[in-house]
Amino acid sequence: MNGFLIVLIPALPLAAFLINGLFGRWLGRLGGWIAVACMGGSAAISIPLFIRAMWGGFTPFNVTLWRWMSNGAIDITIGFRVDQLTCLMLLYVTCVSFMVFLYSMGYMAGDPGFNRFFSFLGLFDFSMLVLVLGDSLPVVFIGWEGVGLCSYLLIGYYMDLPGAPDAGKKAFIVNRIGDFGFLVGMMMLFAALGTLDIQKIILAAEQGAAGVGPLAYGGAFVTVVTLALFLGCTGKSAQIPLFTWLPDAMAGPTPVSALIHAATMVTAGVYLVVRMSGLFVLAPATMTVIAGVAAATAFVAGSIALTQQDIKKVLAYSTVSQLGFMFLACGVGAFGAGIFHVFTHSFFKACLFLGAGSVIHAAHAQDLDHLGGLRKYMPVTAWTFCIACASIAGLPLLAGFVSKDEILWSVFASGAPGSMLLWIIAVITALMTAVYSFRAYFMTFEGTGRLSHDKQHHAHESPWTMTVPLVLLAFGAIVAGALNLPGVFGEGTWRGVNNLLEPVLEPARKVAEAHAHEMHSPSLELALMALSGVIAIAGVALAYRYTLAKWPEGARRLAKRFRLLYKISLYRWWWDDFYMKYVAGGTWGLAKLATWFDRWVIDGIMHGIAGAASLGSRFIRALQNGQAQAYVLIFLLGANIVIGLIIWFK
Amino acid sequence: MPPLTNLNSFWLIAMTFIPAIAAVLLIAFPRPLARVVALVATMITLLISVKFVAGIVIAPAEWTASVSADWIPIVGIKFLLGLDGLSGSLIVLTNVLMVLSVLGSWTAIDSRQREFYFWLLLLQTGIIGTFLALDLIVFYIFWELMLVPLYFLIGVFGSVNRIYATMKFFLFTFAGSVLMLLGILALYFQHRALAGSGSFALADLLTISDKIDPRLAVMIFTGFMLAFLIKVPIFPLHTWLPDAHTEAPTAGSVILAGVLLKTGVYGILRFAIPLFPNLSVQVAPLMIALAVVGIIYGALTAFAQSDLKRLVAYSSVSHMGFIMLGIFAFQKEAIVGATLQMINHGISTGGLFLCVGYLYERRHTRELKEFGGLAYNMRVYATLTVILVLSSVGLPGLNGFIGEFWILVGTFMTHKIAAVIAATGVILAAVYLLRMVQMTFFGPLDKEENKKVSDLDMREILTLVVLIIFAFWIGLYPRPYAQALEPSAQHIVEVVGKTPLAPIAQK
Repeated sequence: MNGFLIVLIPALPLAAFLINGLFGRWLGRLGGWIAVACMGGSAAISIPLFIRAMWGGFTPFNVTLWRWMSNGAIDITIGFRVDQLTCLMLLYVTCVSFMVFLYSMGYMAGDPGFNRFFSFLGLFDFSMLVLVLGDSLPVVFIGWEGVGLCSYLLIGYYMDLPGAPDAGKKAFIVNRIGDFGFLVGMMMLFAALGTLDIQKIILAAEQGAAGVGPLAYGGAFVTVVTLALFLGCTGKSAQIPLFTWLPDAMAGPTPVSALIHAATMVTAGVYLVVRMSGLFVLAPATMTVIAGVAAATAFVAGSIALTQQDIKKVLAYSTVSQLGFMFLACGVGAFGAGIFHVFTHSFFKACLFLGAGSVIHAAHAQDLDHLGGLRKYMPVTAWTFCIACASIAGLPLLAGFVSKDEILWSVFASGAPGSMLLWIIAVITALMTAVYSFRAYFMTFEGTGRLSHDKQHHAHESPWTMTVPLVLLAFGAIVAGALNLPGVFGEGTWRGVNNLLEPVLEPARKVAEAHAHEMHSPSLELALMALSGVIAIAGVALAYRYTLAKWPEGARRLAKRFRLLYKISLYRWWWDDFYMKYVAGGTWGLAKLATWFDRWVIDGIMHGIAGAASLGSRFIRALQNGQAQAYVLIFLLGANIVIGLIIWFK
Repeated sequence: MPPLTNLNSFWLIAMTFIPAIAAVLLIAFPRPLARVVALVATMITLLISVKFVAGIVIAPAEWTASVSADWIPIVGIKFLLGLDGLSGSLIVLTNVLMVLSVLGSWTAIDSRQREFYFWLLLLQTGIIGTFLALDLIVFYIFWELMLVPLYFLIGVFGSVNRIYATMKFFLFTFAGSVLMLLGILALYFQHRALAGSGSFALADLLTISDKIDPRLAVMIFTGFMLAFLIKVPIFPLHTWLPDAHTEAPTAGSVILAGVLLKTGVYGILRFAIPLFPNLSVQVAPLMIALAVVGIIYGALTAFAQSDLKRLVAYSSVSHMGFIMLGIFAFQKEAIVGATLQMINHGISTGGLFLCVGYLYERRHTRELKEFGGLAYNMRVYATLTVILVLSSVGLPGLNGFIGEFWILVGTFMTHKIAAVIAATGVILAAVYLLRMVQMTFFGPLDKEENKKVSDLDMREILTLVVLIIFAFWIGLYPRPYAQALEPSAQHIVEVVGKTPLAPIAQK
């Protein structure tokens, strides 16, 4: 029975995909409601499952479906693994998806591709749930590539919008570069272990930690494997060097940005690292790389978000930056903190994106310079957006505060190489987070309205299908932190998520305990917690000063004073220009070169040979008169000669 | 001539020659019926082949059916046919693609129909015979029999540059064939010298091939390999392929890419490696290097094409590189993957050529820049094409992934660097195919000619859906295919004298 229900979780969105894809033309709006119902069904299964995992007696189990890729030594089944981590992931993926589905009923109403949209969303959720449920790396890879495909299809959803199909293509190709790493990781693991079953890999990793088998602690092999897998994560979760696709992905419809490019798909990389944490901790070098890349990404993306004009771009870079925080936690071994930030982030970031969508829906504008003063027209959107901003900025006691502070402390206390530097970068980034998120809030909802008269006139609150999800998500953005209160509050503090994930993270913890020297100082932790609160408030104040109190002269003066920094931020550190010019351009150049080579060198040589031969074959040409009978005659003649020769030799 | 040994032999002969018989009969039918006769004949042939392969999956055996008869006893030529999992699977692929080619040409070929279907059916007999023949002269005859119909199919029914393409195709493959014929004759005389009597039977030749003078063996082996490698084609012997594929009529491209290239790989697996295992092992590093170069090179070249059909054609060079890589890794898993990938490539690339053909029929151009925005008025077409593209890209859940995964994982056990470089082909496949999808389907629908284009009709949808069903079937449940292909792979691994390398942990 359990197994059947587990299968239903991904099967329901798959049904939504098929129903809308095949019969959408005739179903119209009903198709959308069917999709919402399917997603609701998945959530209805996932919520009790999570409650059971959290409070009831729960033992992890496997659901094996069928033998998939078995051939010789390779034997891979399609199967699901349901453990505590899965339950947590299922909970938030299905709940956020449900709300985004519902929201889309309002947002996409009247769109000519309404059913296409819902079919792709269904396929996305199916893939995402397979990714989360998969019990072996290849099954995870089905979901992994599947979400990438849906991302591609949905980014390019507005097919004739300039740039949208390009952005989709870019997302897919950049992700494929990451997938190459995933593939290499799988090849290596299989060659070494003869299995790709995640539990067996973790088991081998535990042996490796004890110095048995090919996965020795700190060995070159385990370092390369984890680096390869991490390359996959940088693609999917938009980290340096593969992060440039995510901002472009904002060309997709806003619900897609909320669901795929903020709450769920982009966190898949973090999920993978946490899922394989027992393996990753065996490679301290990789962990250092992860932490370094993550801190750099968080900082770079945060700095870019400060000056972006498009509200969705601000949120996109914010997502990249927050993903950096999650990886940073993983990099210093605080996997629980990383996944908890994934969890809280899904609420406030989805809320922010859906809020932005609500604004775009109402005002038909997304440039911060043209927004402003919208709170009086759309109070629900404004308040929920404000709450989500406060949460991401890390105002004390909100969900974002709880999860981010845990990351900051983990970094500070980890004793990992360069942990002080990482901590300082993270704190600066936290400050920037508060600034850019409230800058977006103030410039959209407060101050004077800068919308054209025409649009101002039309601005209105969105329908209930859109506001209800906003309110629910904002509620989550406030209280989700309660699931994992900081440990510093004493022994008896209820640390739900940490306790929940304890069995999954145990192999990693054991290794960490053997090798790392974590700091324990409750007083220091409390002091730093106060510091994060202060930083968040300072950030909000800064944003207030430059986007409301001294708008616009103050901001302009600031930009002038720090001209270079402003340009670096505005032009996004020129990452993308570099890639387009040298990597994309370089590949195109190579392709042109290969084509030229094919035509003139290889074919040239062949023509040369043919030319030489034809000189000597003037005589033969006489035989080639273009008549089929003649050819048959020659063929028979030749056959006779051959057979005659054989007989003669015999 | 001894009587047919059993019922299976009868069906084997029937399957081989029904198309040829139909080809002759067809001439007697009125013109409009030609395609009907062709359809019926190809479907009957398909049914027989399915029966054979289903039998293999249910009850694995080395040879499921065979025919053995003296043909020209005075020179020791025997009519030997045999069907195993490898040849059976490839024949089913051939027959499926043949049915679809007939359906796909239903309206595209509007003049000289009888001639067209005559050559097409004759081609089918040639291909089936090539896959079944176990006597080298019989093999050679069928091998050449494939060449003639294609010569006419491209030369008569092709597009603008067909004469150049036909000549090129003919000269390339014929050059290879001649060398192979010399090799066959040399083997015959070697058998006579070493075993007392001349024979062309593969089973006989296998007993003496290791006793042949090494220098002569190298020459014979080279002759065989050149013939097969040109057909595959492996880089740098591939330049006939883009021209032939591009100029051929749709059915011709489908069969060329879907099946004909595989006769080269099949020849290597059936003849070249078993006859000369040591030499095969010796050339393996070169083959692997060329295969890897081909994967990258084909993909890069495909990227820069402006002609839809040329793009798909170059993608074949890349895909065939994967197949060659899998075979010369000499790992069982990789060989099963490579042989499965032959079928997968037939499905995805065959399907893509059908797609291109349907578009060409409507727009009379294949220039990418002439399209754009077609997803608006050709929704079904766009959907089906994208699925086939994804199958070609190797998206997990579809067929292409299974083959690539087995090839890469299997190859990695012995050739780590090659496998890793080959895996970058996965990135490049997305690069060139998504460019194609984007330029064809996305962007604004701004060209007048494109606005008038109609979506696919039921017949066309059917042809693509059949392939897509196979793509999903293999992608989700490849076991029956693996079971049919495993014995041949096992055989190859044993022949080259390497036990399959178990992963370290299992040792």
